[in-house]
Parts: sequence; structure tokens; C-alpha cells
Amino acid sequence: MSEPTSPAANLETVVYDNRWASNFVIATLVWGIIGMSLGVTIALQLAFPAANLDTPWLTYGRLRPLHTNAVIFAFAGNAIFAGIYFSLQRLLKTRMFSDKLSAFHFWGWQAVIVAGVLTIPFGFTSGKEYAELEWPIDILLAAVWLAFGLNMFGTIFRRRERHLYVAIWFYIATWLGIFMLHVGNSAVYPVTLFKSYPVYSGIQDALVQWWYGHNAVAFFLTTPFLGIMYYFIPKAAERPVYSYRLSIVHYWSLIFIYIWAGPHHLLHTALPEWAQTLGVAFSIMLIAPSWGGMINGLLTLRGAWDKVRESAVLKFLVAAVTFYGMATFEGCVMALREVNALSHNTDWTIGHVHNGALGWVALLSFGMIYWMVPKMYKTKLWSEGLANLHFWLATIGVATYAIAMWIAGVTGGAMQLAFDENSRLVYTDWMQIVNAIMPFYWVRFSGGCLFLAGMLLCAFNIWRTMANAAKLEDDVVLVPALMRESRAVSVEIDKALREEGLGKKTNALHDLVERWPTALVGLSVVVLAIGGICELVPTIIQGAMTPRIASVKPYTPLELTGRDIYIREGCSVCHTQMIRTLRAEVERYGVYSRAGEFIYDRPFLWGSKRTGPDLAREGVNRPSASWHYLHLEKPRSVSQGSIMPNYPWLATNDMDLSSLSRKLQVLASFPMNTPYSDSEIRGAVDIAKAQAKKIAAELRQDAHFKDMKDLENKEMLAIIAYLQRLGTDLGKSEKAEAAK
Amino acid sequence: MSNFTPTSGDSIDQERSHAFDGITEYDNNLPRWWLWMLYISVAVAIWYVFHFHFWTGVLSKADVDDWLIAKAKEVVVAPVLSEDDLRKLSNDPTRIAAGQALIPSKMCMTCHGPTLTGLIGPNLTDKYSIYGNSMTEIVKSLTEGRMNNVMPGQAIHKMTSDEIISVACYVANLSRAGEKPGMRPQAAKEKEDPIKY
Ligand code: HEC
Ligand code: HEC
Repeated sequence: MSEPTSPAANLETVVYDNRWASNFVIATLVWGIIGMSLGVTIALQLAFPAANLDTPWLTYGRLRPLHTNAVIFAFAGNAIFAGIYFSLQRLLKTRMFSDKLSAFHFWGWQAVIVAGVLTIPFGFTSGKEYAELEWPIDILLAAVWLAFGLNMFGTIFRRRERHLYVAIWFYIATWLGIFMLHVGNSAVYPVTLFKSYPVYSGIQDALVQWWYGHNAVAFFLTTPFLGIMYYFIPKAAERPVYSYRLSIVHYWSLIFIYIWAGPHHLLHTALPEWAQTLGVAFSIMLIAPSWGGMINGLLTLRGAWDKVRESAVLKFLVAAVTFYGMATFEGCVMALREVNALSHNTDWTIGHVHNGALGWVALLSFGMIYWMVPKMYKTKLWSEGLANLHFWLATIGVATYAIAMWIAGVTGGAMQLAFDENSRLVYTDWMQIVNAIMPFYWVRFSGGCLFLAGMLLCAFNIWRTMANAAKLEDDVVLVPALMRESRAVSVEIDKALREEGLGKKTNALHDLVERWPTALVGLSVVVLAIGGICELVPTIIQGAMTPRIASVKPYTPLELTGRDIYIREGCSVCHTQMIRTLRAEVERYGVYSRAGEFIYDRPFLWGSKRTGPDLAREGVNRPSASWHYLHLEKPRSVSQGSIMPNYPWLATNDMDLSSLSRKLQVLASFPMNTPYSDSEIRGAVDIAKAQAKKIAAELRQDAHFKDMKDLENKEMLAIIAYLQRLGTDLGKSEKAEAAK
Repeated sequence: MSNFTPTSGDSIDQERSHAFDGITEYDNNLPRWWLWMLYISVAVAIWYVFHFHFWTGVLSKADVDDWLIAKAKEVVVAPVLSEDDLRKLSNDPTRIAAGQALIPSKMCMTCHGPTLTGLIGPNLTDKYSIYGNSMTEIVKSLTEGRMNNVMPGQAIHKMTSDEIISVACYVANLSRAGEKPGMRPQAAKEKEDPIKY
């Protein structure tokens, strides 16, 4: 279909910038290889713990966050920018707003990721999932995001195309959503350059975190890729988009509903029940908007299915959209309370997230890259055959991964919940559960290897394609200049509005919004913000009013030190600290966790995966210091077949108490107001040392520790103090009540 | 026709008049089944809220609370058995078999070795004992735990008092059966007098 141009239109020359889009593609491939290699490494470590070589920065707890960051922000992030930089210019018929901003955006983003690589494995982490970067890097990230926004909105401002195409709506939502989430979730109070405490605590922190975590999936892994889908599928298939009306309805409903669904990550926890219910209800409603995107993508291919057989690009795109449909359906199912009781904290969740990350995000990115690189380099793909091979490796890889994790998750979940006829736990020993799912850890590892192999083929193929091409040049095209608005517009729309049929009325109204970016942005902000405001504000208020439990006291200086070591080592990627309100969990771990127990937890450490057992009441269930010492030093010495990493360095590292007073001072200041007295703050180090001495004395009663010198200065004592404290405060109140 | 006007008519596959970088869009109606999916999911979501918060649905917290109350009522205080009673029980083959059946699932072997001849924990098959040769002490080891719960107590292995008795009967019989080659008795710790029952 030809562009409608009026005879008066002047033609203008536009030069589309290919350089930065191409750089983003290269970065996607490089980080993809790194991120997926990390994934394969930690998958191996779960099946074979010795693979961490007992090296602190190679242990599972530290590499897993690096893996998630590398895949989400580095691989998917760069893919998003590649897609946006390529399509935005062409959809708006103008060059990117500023080459300088493009350069800043590109290098700034890579700097954020490199900073992550240089901090996360070394234990500098906020401890919040998918937001592990410490505060200075968070600030850099915000600056880069602003630059990206400026570049994108500047381009929109200078467009030669009155209407914004649906892909661009999704890009706008992406920018807005991530900005809002990042700023909202990163409210921390710095202690040192690489340590901070969040201003929220306990259930507030949990809800803010999962408002962030869930919607990072929405606005970093869904909306930008839907935008990319809306550009690359019709381009690659050379078919019109199936339904414009569906685009409208599913755009607005998606961004409205998504935000509300965050609490489905916190079902059966101490989060207020009304918030949990809202999370489930909106998750149920999320299926239609999600599938709206899927069917609009798939139905666009009507009449082009024969092309799918031939083209690797289309195969990737079709498979990606299909995985999107499956993953979103799976997500809605997992959000139901009953299913969640089983699936939560298990490998099923891991499988689910990889359906999305590998099946949807990665496959779509590959399809996009295979299509756009030859276009930009004005050449052909080096090897179509290799791309086809990549497609099969990737698809079989994800499928293997997903099936293995699904079986492991259901098995593990069912074993955790299983009761015998006397309503007592069938599997009391955690190792029974670990052993049952071990074979599937190996299967998952092999699935990951297949996917990584495909990734390597892709990088090689693209590298050859780029190398074979002549120099990368910008595209020069002639396009009609944007005409000044005429009054006729409103007359036309007026007429359209008076036409019969709801469909046409909405179309006409939406036409107005599309040609007026400020309105599109403004409306999107409102729609995006509603869910967050309705859930966060009451929870923060309710959180502030969480019924105090008199016996719940702030952590002692030594326990706080131990807690920060727990965060540094990433124990919370394998251990939860949240006994859910389920019979089996109460039976296994003790009375369920109360909101009031977490008011001093900054950040909250409820976790999301139980590779090991819950530790919320570890102090009650395993008070023994010597057991913890032996176990942490070498888990397999007391727990045969355990897959927990060894932590020998905790027994040899001296505790770092240098910033302890400052930590207490920060926690005691506004708005955290933890009740530490001035003398506690000033004498924090001495108080910590005195407590360490006590634990050392307890340990020395045991022959094994009798002759150990310098025991009281080791990090081990701090983390033992923390573990011994966990969950004990509540019991103190029960005892106090009994005494009365 | 100017470039923003939707084409008229609802008929299938009508292209809108506008193209973006060559991409056109059909003005197709929303697929009917998709609309139904939307309506039904909204209805279910509303039902869900009412079901759990106003109608008969039971939230898991209420369920656990009720269950705990019911359990508290059910608890029968296990009779405190005398040493003599315990020894009598320890000759009952069904008891011994029941105890033996429990061992593999209760982690004992991780610490006492695959044949219970000692590893981190002491040899359970020899004639010596750290805590004195009485059934009462074995039951106590298993109920309260030893060494600050390195030897796990009831809080960790979660056996009922009755099951503990069965396991104790089995352990006592291991000693009776005589010494199996294993770890040497922990001379410094274990009492000299060999088992009497
Ligand atoms: C790779 C996942 C993983 C990581 C990381 C991990 N653990 Fe574990 N942990 C396990 C598994 C599996 C078990 C169960 C088997 C066992 O007892 O070793 C376990 C058991 C435990 C237990 C015993 C729980 C009980 O009562 O039976 C404690 C305490 C513990 N871990 C603490 C920690 C601490 C502290 C860290 C961080 C320094 C940590 N874990 C890191 C997997 C992990
Ligand atoms: C985490 C390791 C561990 C586990 C699991 C464990 N034990 Fe022990 N057990 C020990 C240790 C250590 C001692 C020695 C305590 C001491 O020296 O005070 C011990 C002592 C005992 C004793 C007292 C021995 C004596 O000489 O008086 C008995 C009986 C016993 N264990 C039985 C069991 C049974 C039955 C199980 C399974 C339900 C079990 N243990 C599981 C570590 C363990």
C-alpha cells in the first residue's frame, strides 16, 4: 500500500542511523553469550556443587543474581534498544533525535552492566531480586534511562509521521513503566559507597519489591518485545497487522491490569490478604490482554504460513509468540492460590520464567536480529542453514528446560506438602526432596547447554554476516515532510465519532490520541499508576501500622553483621524466610510468619526459591552453633548429598566491623527509626564482640572447636548469631504471655 | 480520504488507509472468542474476590488457624513410661520393625553412618553408650536432642512420641545384637559399663 501523499508535500531526505542499532545488536550477542554461560554454570552447580571450585565469587548465591541481571538487563536490554533504535526511526521517518545521546545511551548502559559484573559477584548487592545493583549504579542507570527517554521522545517530537504506530505505544509504556518502577524500588539510604538499606521494611519492602519485580517482567520483558513484535512480524511476513482494534484494546488493558498483579508473588504470606486477593484477581484478568498480543501476532501471519517453512526469521518469531502465549497462560494458572501453594518457591517458577525469557524474549530477539542485520548491512545472512539449526537447538533447549523444571517443581512442591494419613509430613528430611529432583537438574543443564550452543551459532553467523558486508552505512531515504495540521482533521474525526458502531467510535477517538503524544503519554501514566497507587499506598500505611509484637526487637550489632553477610553471600536465592499459612509449612517449620516479625528487616529476605529449606525459624529449629559451623564450612559433612555450597571462608575471614556504628546510625535515623539507643550506636563494635565471645565459648565446649584460636573474630560467628536469632522473637512473646 | 480515517464497514480484512514504514493494519473486529475470554476472566476475577472475602471461601490463614486449634484439642499426652515398661516394649518384634522402618527417612544414617556404626554421631551398634545404658536415656536423646540439637531432637525430626519409642526399641536391639565393626567407642565419652538389658 502506498503512502498517501498530497501533491503539495515536499520530499525531504532522511538519514536513518544504523550505527547504534548495530552496536546494540553486537552488545546483545556478547552479553547473551556471557549471561547464558553464567546460567549454564549455575545450573551445573545445583547438580554438582563442587563446580564452584570453593571460590567465593563463583558460588551459586553470588552468580545467580549476576546471571539474572546479565540476561535481563544486558541481553534483553540491548536487544530492546537495538529493536527500538531500528524501528523507531523508520516508523517516524526521522533520524534518532541526537547521535550524542545515542552514544551516551549505548556506552552508559554497557557501563551499568560492567559495574554490575564488577560488584555483584564480589558481594556488593542490595539483596533485592532483579534490583541487586547498589545505589551508585542505580543512579547511573536512572541517568542512562533518562538519556534514552530524551532521545526517544525527541525523535517522536521531530517525527514526519503524524500518527504513532502501535509499536511506539509499547515503547512509550516501557520507558514510563521502568522509570517509575526503578525510582520507586530504589529508595534506599546509603551507608557506604557499596552498602545501603531500603527505607521500606518487612511487608512494605516485600510489596514494593514485587510490584517492581513483577512489572519489570511487564515493562522490560513484555511491552518492549510486543512493540518489537508489532514491527518485525508484519515486516518479515509482509502482511498487514491482523487487527488495529485489538491493538488498542490489548495495549490499554495490558498496561492497566499488569501493575495490579504483583502480590501474586506473595500469596499465603504475611502480606495483608486483601492485597493477595487483588493480585490473584488481576492475574486472572491478565490472560485476555496477554493473549490479545499473541493472537494479533499469530493472525498477522495468516496467508504467510508457507513463508514460515522457509524463513528462519519467521520461525523464530512464530515460536516466540507461541511461547509468549503459553508462558502467560501458565502465569495466570500459577497465580491461583491453590496452585501457588504447590508451585511457589519451587523449580516450576524457574521453568516459567525461562519460558518467558528464553522462549519469548530470546527467540524474538534472535528473529529480529537475523532480519535486521542483513537489512542494515545491505547483504544476505551468512548462513540460513545455521540460523535454522539455531532455531531447532533453541526450541528443543527451552522445551527440555521447561519440562525438566516443571516436573522438578511439581515433584518438589508436592513432596513439601505431602501429608500421610495421620496428617504428618511424609518427607521430613529436606534431602529426600533434593534427591528426588536431582535428575531433572541434570536434564535442565543439558537443555541450557543446547540453548547456549544455539546462541553461539547465532553470534558466529551474525559476525560472519557483518564481516562479509561492505562498511555499515546509514540508510538514506526520501520521505514527505509532515504537513501542518488542518482544521479538517477535527471535522473528520467529528464525523467519525458520530458514525455507527462502538468500534468505529473508539478508532476515531484513538486516532486523536495517537497523533498527540502528550495525550498518549499522559493517559498511559495515569493508567499505569492506578494499580500501584491502589495497592502500595494502603500497604505502606498498613505496614506502618503493623501490629507491633512486643517481643520483636531489632537485630543486635553482631546479628546485623551476620545478616549483611547472609545478603552478601546470596543465601536468600536458595533459602526463603517466610513460613506460609499452609498446614504443611506450619508442620515443617513452626508457626507461620507474622507481619510484625519483619518490621526491622531491611531489606526483607523472604526469598522466592527453596532450594534449601525455609530458615524463618532456624533459630528455633536448630539452635546449635556447632551444627551451623560444621554445616556452613562444609554442608556435606553433616548433611549427606547436600547441594549447598561450602563456605570455608566464613571460618577464616575476619568480621568487618568498620561501618557497624554507621549502619546502626543509619537504621536509627528518619524514616527508618529503628529503636537503637545512642549508646548502642556508639558501642556497637564492643557489643558485637561481646556477643561473639559468648558464641565462641559455646562452641569451645565442643572438642572440635576447643583449640581454635581467634574464633570470636570470624565472620562465621556473626552469621551463626543471625541464624540463631531467626524466628525466636515470637516464641519469647508466647512465653511472656504464658508467664502472665 | 485523509490518512487518519478508519475505513468504513466491519467486513473482514479491510485495510486501514495508513501505512507505517510499509506496515498496514486491518481494521478487523476483536475476535469473538477473545472477547468472551475477556468477559469470563473478569467475571471469574470478581467472583474470586467475593468468594474468598464475602462468601464461603476459606483463606489459607483461617484454615491453618482452625487446624491448629483442632490439633491442640486432639493432643493426647503420651503416657510417661517407666524404664521397665520401655524394656518390655523393646522385646516386641512389631515395635522393633516399626522403628527400623523409620530410620531411613529420619536422617539417622547421615550422621551415624549407613550401618549406624558411627560417623559424626557415635556407633549405635556397640555395647557402649554415652548417656548410660537405659531406654529412658535413648528416648531422651531422641526427644530432646543432644549436644544442643546436633543430635536432633523431636523439634527437628518431628517423630511422634510413639515413633520415638519404636526407634528407641530398635536402637536398643542393635546394641543387644552385639558389636558390629565400626567406629571405636568414644573412649573419653562413653560409659564403661556395657549394655545390661
Ligand atoms: C545452592 C543453594 C544454597 C545456597 C546458596 C545456600 N544453601 Fe543453605 N541449604 C541448601 C540446601 C539444599 C540445604 C538442605 C541440605 C542441607 O542441610 O545442607 C540447605 C540447608 C541449610 C541450613 C539447614 C536448614 C535446616 O534447618 O535443615 C542452613 C542453616 C542453611 N542452609 C544456611 C545457609 C546459609 C547461611 C547460606 C548462605 C551463606 C546458605 N544456606 C546458602 C542450599 C543452599
Ligand atoms: C546431625 C547428625 C545426627 C543425626 C541426623 C542423628 N544423630 Fe544421633 N547423635 C549425633 C551425635 C553427634 C550424637 C552424640 C551426642 C553427644 O555426644 O552428646 C548422637 C547421639 C545419639 C544417641 C545417643 C548415643 C549414646 O551413646 O547415648 C542416640 C541413641 C542417637 N544419636 C540416635 C539417633 C537416631 C535414632 C537418629 C535418627 C532419628 C539420629 N541419632 C540422628 C548426631 C546425629
